[in-house]
Amino acid sequence: MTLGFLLGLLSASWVWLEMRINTGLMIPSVTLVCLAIAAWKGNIFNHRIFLFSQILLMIAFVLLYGFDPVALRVVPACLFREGYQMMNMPLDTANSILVAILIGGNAFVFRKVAIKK
Amino acid sequence: MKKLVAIFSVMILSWCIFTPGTVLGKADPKKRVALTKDNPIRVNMKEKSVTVLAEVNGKYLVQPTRHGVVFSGGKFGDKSVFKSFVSPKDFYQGLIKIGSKPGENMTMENKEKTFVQGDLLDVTVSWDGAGKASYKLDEVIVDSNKKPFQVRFGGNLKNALKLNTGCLLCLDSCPVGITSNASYTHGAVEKRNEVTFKGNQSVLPPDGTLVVIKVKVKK
Repeated sequence: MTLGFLLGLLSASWVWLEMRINTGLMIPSVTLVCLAIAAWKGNIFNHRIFLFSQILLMIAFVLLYGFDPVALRVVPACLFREGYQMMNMPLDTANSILVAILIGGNAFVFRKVAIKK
Repeated sequence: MKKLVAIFSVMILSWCIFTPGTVLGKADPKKRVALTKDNPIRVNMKEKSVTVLAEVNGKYLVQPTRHGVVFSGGKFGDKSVFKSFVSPKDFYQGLIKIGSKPGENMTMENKEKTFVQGDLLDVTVSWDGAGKASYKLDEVIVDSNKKPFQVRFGGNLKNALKLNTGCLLCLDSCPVGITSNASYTHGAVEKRNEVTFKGNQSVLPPDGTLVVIKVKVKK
């Protein structure tokens, strides 16, 4: 999902493409592809990939939008609701879901790492 | 690894602090504007104006777009600063009804070298709780070159119906949009990077707020 966001952000920054396709679709598409690869390879929760993709996402966001708090509130939520075809979803709701996924995902992956150690 | 996890926890918490009670959240449902989603257009013959209902798309307050107002049922319904509930056909007919004359000079072949013609229009935007009665289009959509908008009634109903983009107001001259901005030719935004357009986040209300867009022939 994080990689999907990264691709979504990058494609949305290209105005020509953004005006023609639903860039939010990158999120469910990449998530599905990653899940398929992970199921095939048998290692779904590699915490290094997880961490690396989040760092890349943050770098890309800062490079594209700077430290604009409005962009932080709007862009991920808009990409999310577009990607999952829920255009009438308020941004607050989308942001709450994203925060829940982010915290839940990180807690799940890093708890597994801690248990292994 | 523990340090990295700690750093990430701080980053996530920072996001959580920013997120609740967002500035660009849902519009207050108690407030209302004169038009409704079931009755989203008003043609005022006395005033010679066409008024349409639309809502703010928060995405284009931070990202560039070339679409000003687009019908929500069109292909580009989610690509504009204002998502309207009025179809291009109804909007076109409204403008004809008030006596406005379309330019009909834009084609797919000449679009990059031709400025849209047709009656010059005055476009204003208002909403419940706005700082003043109405804002000019120049105030709510920011042109990176600060060129004033010259919105003209291009016409183009045939193309609009054929392509179903839903465009009511394009921000550069357009062979599909019913009205468009004669300050630039087609391709100024997407191809030649001459200009960028964004909704003015310091003026416009939050994502999802209903706004009323009034179009009048300029005298």
